[in-house]
This record gives sequence, structure tokens and C-alpha cells, in this order.
Amino acid sequence: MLARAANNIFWMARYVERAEALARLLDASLRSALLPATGEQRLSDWHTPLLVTGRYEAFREENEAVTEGRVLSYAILGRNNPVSIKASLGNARENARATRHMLTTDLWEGLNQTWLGVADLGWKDLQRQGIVTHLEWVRTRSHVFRGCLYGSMRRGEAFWFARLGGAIERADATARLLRVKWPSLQGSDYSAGQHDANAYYRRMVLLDALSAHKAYREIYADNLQVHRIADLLLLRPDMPRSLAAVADEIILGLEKLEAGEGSLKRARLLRHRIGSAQVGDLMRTGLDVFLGGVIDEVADLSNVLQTEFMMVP
Amino acid sequence: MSGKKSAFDEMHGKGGKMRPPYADYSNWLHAMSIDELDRRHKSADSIFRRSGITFNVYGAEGGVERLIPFDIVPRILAAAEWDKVALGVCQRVRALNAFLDDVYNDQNILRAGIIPADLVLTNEAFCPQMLGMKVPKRVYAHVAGIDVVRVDEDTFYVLEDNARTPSGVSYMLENRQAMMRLFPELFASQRVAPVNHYPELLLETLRAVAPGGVDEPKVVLMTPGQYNSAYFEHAFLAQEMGIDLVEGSDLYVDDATVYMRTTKGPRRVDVIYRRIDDDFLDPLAFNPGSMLGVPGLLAAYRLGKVTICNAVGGGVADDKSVYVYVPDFIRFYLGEEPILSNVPTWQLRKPDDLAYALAHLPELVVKEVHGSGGYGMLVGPAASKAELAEFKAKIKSSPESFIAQPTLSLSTVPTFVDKGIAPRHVDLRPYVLTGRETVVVPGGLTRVAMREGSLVVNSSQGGGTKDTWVLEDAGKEAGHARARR
Repeated sequence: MLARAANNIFWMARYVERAEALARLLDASLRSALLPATGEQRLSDWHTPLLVTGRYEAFREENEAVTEGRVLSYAILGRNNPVSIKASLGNARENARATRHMLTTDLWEGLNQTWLGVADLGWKDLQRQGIVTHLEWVRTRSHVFRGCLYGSMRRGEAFWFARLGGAIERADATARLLRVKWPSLQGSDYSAGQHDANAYYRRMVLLDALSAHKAYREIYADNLQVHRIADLLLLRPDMPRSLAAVADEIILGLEKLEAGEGSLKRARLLRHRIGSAQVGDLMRTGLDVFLGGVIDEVADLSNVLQTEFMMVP
Repeated sequence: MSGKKSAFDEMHGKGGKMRPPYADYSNWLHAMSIDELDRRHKSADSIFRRSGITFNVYGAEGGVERLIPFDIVPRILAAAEWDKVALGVCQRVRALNAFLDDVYNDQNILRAGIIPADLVLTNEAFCPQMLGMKVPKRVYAHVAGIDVVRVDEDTFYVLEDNARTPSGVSYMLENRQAMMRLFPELFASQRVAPVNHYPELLLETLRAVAPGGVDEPKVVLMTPGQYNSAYFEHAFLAQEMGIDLVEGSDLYVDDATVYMRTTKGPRRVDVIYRRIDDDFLDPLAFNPGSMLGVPGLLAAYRLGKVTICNAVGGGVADDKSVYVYVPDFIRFYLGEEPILSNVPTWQLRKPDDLAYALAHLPELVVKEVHGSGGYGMLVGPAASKAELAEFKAKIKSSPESFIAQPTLSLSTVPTFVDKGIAPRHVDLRPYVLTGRETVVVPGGLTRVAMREGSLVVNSSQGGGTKDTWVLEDAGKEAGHARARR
């Protein structure tokens, strides 16, 4: 397969995943904002999307204040925001368009439809249809993308490059989200006999954002405790958005693509780091260092991949 | 001559009598309500939009994607009408290939004085690097689009030859797909000759001209990239043929061999179907500023290590100043009389022709010799006084850059427009392939001037397209006309 095409397909999937991750995050922020909170806490909720996407400084250059409306409009449509949902979907579509001859009609038309759904969207339209409705739509379109990928594409190189791109972006997104949100989840637990309803709801919102709330109840049959949340979202290989699961998926993709030792070794190392982590240790040291390390390793892996496959010779 | 008054309508003929190829269709059309047609017209639009069948408009920021207006009323030709066109365009392409082979090798035609040598040798499109080179099967124009117009029941003219990188064939294919989806009942009741095998014929053509000694040639389609106006077509054809769609940066030359960069390392490339102009192919040989090309490609080509389709330097055959001589090429190389005539043409580099043209400008169509896409063209009857004066000055300052032709009254075909069904002017571009032999699929791309009275059919100038039907005679296989070299 043409190296550039592999690169396009890899990034196509990354951008769709990126749009979905941001939609999930904004949805969580919107719901956190409904909780009773001090002005300071509320403000910090709307800092999160900017911090997670690394756009805080750039946003502040354009905007005096961090308000719900401004952050939403910037994160969803932002003209000067290269990682807005709209920009990501546009990039996904452009990458698909560059390789449309290698994609099934289902996959290409599905993604093209998604793009047409946001191409002319303005802030007023968005308010009319409802922000939450729109964010749900973005999630659904990402599911459609994955569905078309799984349900229509031959299990050849293009398929595996797309899966790999999706997994790498998801690893990055989960790690970033947890890293930024983690401090706000702290608070006394129910078991301590004190009601810190706020922290409790924040935990619930985070689990919902990662489609993990029901799984939590099913697995632990317990109230929401941070160490269990860490276990669920970092270490359990059966949770599709957990770090362990995406690391497994990355390794699978690399093996299918007969990747070189450079990338495989890094991926296995990453998996080992996740697999050998102990919740107790993480709780003591905090997640910041651990997740920071994961984010760096994922970025490094992505770069190695691109030199191995996509920019030869 | 105004296009409108005296135009030949392909459905109603001149006297308003229904012409036979349209009889069945017309019955069906009369039974349809305008609302129903409108509904299907809209659903055609959404089919094209959803599948991203667009062309990019230059000039706009970052390139804007537009849909080409697609008209739901087909253009219908009887088998006998088509056969003549098919034989005519194949004959023409055989002569163009013979001409290219000759001017880049023996130059017999120049010695025979059939065409002035300076017109060929000093032509911008003439490529001295091609002199003395033997291309596989002596084919230069592997894919040619011959623009044909009709003026009455029996007369078709060749308006223009396109021997470089003619585009539009994807619309021919997609239009047929769309029509079959929208109006299955019409295809059930009539025998419309299929066109869908074009990509297969194209691949066969490209494989046939691979460098000698290559058994399983690796064929790729080379595009300037996704912001090119015809990118959709490039991707479409690559997919239909199952070949890689490459950009210049995907290829490199090592030891006079062309390779593409793949995920599994370098892979040798044997045939390049390029949809990029000569100038941008190789920065070492042509435009040194080209970011699109492949350094060393021409050298590899000259050594016969790779085949480039269409051949480099083919533009000298479709130049409008050379066009005038194509009927003579047919006589000279093939010993045949042209089946299709040229439009009478004044060559403004000749003083007499120039004087005539300047005196009759409001009646004429004037074209730039090297222009294409309807740019740089004057339609006399439609031009304002100021435009005429401006063009007159342009012609006077460089007469050799222009030709003039009478304003033909192009035939019309009923077309679905805002006010219902109304006649609009059309042309026809059949796509002629030459590998082992010269073939053409039945029909081609019908372009239609959507504006009332307009004669300009180019998509860059607001033209639309129609599906083109060649009706097969009952019991007779029309197939595609084949003319052996």
C-alpha cells in the first residue's frame, strides 16, 4: 500500500476519534455545569476542554473571559481552532477524500455525510438544534464510521491502519481526559460517612462520558470510588476506552501490519507499564506522572510508526 | 447566425416531428408530471452530493467543491448515428497517433509540406526531448477526447481534439449510474448500450503499452492532488481499475527506474497514467519550480523503463492551429477520407483569414490556439460592443494566437430547467482509447449549456452534463466500434 495513503487513512481514523473524544468531553462539561458549585469550580469546568486539547493559551489570546458559550463555540466550531470538532471532522474527511478510492462506498459516503452535517453549521444553528443534541450526533457519527469500517472494509492494510489510528488517538484522549479531570474527582468517599455529593456526581459524569457508568456498577456493585474508577478506566482490558484495552488494540494492529521492532517494542513496553501498574501505588503517587508518561509514550509511538510505514525511504 | 432560431433539436427534429430515437422516451416523458421529475431531479442532486462527485473551482479560497449540474433528460442517439461518430473519432485518433509518431521521428509530413514545419516545430506543445524516441506500440494519445457537435440530421463536426489529459469520463460513468438508479423503468424497456466497462478497457489499454519484457505491469494513476479540479475523477478511475493513485512525491527514480513508496518499501512502477500536464512531470526536464513532479522521470521514460500515458509532447496534435490539418493527416497517414469533418476555420496567422475575421467578428467564435476549458474565447453574437473591441485589439497584437470559426448552431436536446422542459445546446465528447487497438465506448459525455441560448458547455463556465444513450438495434450487438490500426 502506498505510504502516503497509509498515512491518510491513519489520520482519517485519528481525526474521527478526536472529534468523538471532544464531543464526550464537552458533554461531560455541560453536565458538570448543572451541578451546584462555586463560581470557581464552574469556571474550572470550562477550562477543562481547553486544557485537554492544549488550546488554553490560544483561546485566551482571542477571548477575555472563559465562559460556557465561548468555550463551546470555540471547541465545536472555532475558526482558529485546529482541533475543534468541526476542524477534526473536516480533516478526517480530507484524509478520506485523498484515499477515497481505497475506502468502501459505505465508509466514504458515511464520513462525507458527517462532514456535510457540520460544513455549513454556525453557532446560531447549533443553538437552535441544541448543543447536547449536536454532541450526541457527533458521537453517533463516530459510531457510524466505526461501524462502516468494521462492517464493510476488507481486513487489509487500510483496515488495520485505520484501527491503529483510532486506537492511538483514543489512548491519547483517555489519558488526557483522566489527567485533567482527576483532581476534581477527589473528595471524601461515601464510605467515610460524609456526603460530598459534588465529587460523587463528577465521578458519575466522567464515567458517563466514557460510556463506563453501567460497567462500573456491573463489575464492582459498589458506590463510585476513585480507586475503582482508576482500575476501570486504566487497567481493565475489557473496557473499550481503557488504556489497557487500547494498548492491546495497538499491539494487535501492529502485529497484523507486520510492524517493525521499533514500534512493536514501544507498544509492548507501554502495555507492560499499564499492566504492571498497581491501583494502590497510583492512588498514593497521583495519576499525573503516570498519565503524563503514557501521553508521551503514545506520541513517541505514533512518530515511530509514521517513520516506519509512512515516510519510507 | 444565432444559436436559438435555427437550432436542430434532437428530439423534435426541424419540423417538430418526433425523431425515432426519442419516441419511447418521449411517451414516457409525457406521462410524467413536472412534480415527479422535480422530485427525481432533486434526488439525483443528493446522490451526487452524498457520494462527493464534485469538481473544484479554481480561484476560490482553498478550492471550492461544486456539483456539476446533472440533467435528468438523456441525450439519445440511434445506433446508426453513433456508428458514424464512432468510426469517425477512431479514425481521427489513429491519424493523430500516426502524426505524433511521425513528427517525433521521421517527420515525413513536414517534408511532404502537408503542414508548415514551423507550426509544428515552434509550437509551445512540441517537445524536443521526444525526438527520436520510440514509445511502446507507437501510441501517444492513449486516451483522447474528441469533441463533436451536431448541426443537423446528418452533420456532425469535430470541434476540438483533446490528446493531453482529457477529463470528464467519470461523469459519463456516474451519470449512467445515477440514471439507472433514478429511472430503472427506462432501462428495462429500451436497449441502452452499456458504458460501464470503460475502466476495464482503460486498464487493458494501459497494460498493453507497458515497457517490453514486463509481464505483470504495475500501473498507477498520477494526480496533482486532491485540490485539482478533476481529483474526483482521478480517485474514481483509480478505484474502478484497482490501481494506486499516486502523487509526484510518492514516486522516485533510482537508476533510471521508477519506484513508488509503499508501506512495505519501494515498488517498481511500469506504467503511469498521468493526469498532470507535461510541464509538471519532471522538474529536472521541464518546469524546475514544479512541486508536483518526479525528478528524473523523463530520463527513465526516454530509456523505455516506464511508459507515460498520454505520451509527453502529445499536445502538439491537439493544438487549435494544428486542428485545421487533421483531415489532411487522415488522408496522408491512413489513405482514407475523413468520416467526420472539421468546422470551417480561419487561421488568423494568415493575412486573408485575419482580414475576414476582423471584418466579421460579431458573427464568429474566436478561440485562443492554446486555450482550453472555454477560457479566452469570444462568442461574437453574444458579445457586447466593448468585448468585441477588446478582443479585436487582442487579435491584432498577436493574430497567430487565434483561430476563428462560424458560430455553429449546435443541436439542442430537451433539458429540465426551472420552467420545465426546454431545449438547450449540447456537444458530445466520446473517449477514444488506443493500446493494442483503437476503441471507443458507445456514447460519451454530453455537455449541455444550461443557460438559455448559451453555446458554452464547459463545466468551468456553468455547463452541465447529460447521460448519453446509444440505442442498440434489436438483434444487433452495437458494442463498441473497433477500428484496427
